[in-house]
Amino acid sequence: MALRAQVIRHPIVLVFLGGTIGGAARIAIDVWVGGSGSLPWDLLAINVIGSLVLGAVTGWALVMGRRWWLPLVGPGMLGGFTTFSSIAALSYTAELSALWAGVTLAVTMVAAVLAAALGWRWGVKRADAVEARL
Amino acid sequence: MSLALYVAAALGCGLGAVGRYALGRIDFRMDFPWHTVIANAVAAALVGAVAAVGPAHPGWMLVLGAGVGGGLSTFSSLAVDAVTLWNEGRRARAGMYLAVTWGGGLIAAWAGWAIASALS
Repeated sequence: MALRAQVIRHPIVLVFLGGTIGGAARIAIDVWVGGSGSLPWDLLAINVIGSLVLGAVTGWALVMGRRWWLPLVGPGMLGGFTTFSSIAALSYTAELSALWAGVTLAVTMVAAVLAAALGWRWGVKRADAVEARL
Repeated sequence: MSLALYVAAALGCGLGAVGRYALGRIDFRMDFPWHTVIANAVAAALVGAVAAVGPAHPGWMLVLGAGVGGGLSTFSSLAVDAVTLWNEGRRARAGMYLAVTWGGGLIAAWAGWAIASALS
């Protein structure tokens, strides 16, 4: 039992599980929503939302300390949910010129970084509120 | 899309995530998140290559591109890496990190596409 718990909580196993779950969610959304227009708006939204959530989790963990499930959620679920490669290769996967592919990638990066910074502050604030109650 | 293909793509994403995580364990230079830059560039090259040969093989496009490439690459870690550098006061580094990720990703996607186009 203890050994099984150890195996399940091994970071590699957690990252694999989380990555599979995150990817399944992204691919399902992309099949369901995507496919219209030249820009994959669903993937852009997924990347910004995923960055916001990872920012919040990172800020929270900074105050609360590390938890065993962080690899499951961070590099696993959110890493699998968000994707850089599809956006970087937009001029080959979508009808987009190299210039617009570069602009789209840059704008998505700026939006994701701002979202992560916002999430981070929120995560720190939430964790501080929890700490204050203890 | 069949259920088997969907499951294969999701598992491919899990494998890609493990590859990215393993890359993060390698100590490149502690003060700069090179591992995320490299994972993102390699995944961009993979998606570019798959896009070049993909139209004839939509299954591979889904499993290797959206699955493995999507799992190996990450947008959330890239954003949080940049915020971490910024919050540590290394703001020029944060800007350089974003610039290298941007340029590296676009060049890698082009290289993957060009090589796969030449070979196929």
